[in-house]
Amino acid sequence: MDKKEGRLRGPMASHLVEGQPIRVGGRELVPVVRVTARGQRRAHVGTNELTGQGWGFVRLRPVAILERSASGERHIPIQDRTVQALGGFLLAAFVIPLLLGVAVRLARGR
Amino acid sequence: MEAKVQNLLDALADLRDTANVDAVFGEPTTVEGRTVIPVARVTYGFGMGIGRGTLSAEADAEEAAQDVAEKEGSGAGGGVVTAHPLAVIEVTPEGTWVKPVIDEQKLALAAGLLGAWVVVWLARTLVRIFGQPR
Repeated sequence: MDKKEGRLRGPMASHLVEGQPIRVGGRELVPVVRVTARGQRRAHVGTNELTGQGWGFVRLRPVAILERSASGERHIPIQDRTVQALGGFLLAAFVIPLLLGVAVRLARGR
Repeated sequence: MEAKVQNLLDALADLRDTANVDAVFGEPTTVEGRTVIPVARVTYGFGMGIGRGTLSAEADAEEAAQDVAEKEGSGAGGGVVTAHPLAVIEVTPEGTWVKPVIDEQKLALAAGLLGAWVVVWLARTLVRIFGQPR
């Protein structure tokens, strides 16, 4: 029986890409986007069967905007405040029990 | 058929290269000398499967010898696109600013969970310091 099987799993790739410039009032705004991608495809070819599967995702996260004007170029970062705040909450969720544990030890050591 | 499967899989692999980077920046809108550009985080997800051939391993030899073109096949695929607002770029004659967009609903939920977590740990700490409840 003639059988062929192929599998291609791409590594998680992440790179910065500049988008099309946006012209506003004599200024040129160039978006800078981090593109993260991952994909996998698989194929099986036999005498009586033929199958193929694949999946993947692409995430586009804007990281900055470059402002180009007559006075020069300026890099303006774009931050995800929601994710930053959630990160702070997560950190607090770990730190608070540790501090309370220290408080218990100090109180028992008196 | 084999070529079609190969084309589909190649298209899947190429999709990550052809995802439109400019999709994260919306159309600029100008009102009273101010231009506003919405910015979003965009995620594409996709998957597909396709198959063709005999339905069981006990397929008869005569059927196995048939031309591949006479066999039946099926396939399915799907995709999802999500966009979350991240910030607004405001351009005025004085300069350019990035104003972050905060998801208050998500933060309120997280704050509620954190509050409950802290109350549980605080109660546990007080019990450990001042003695076990009878």
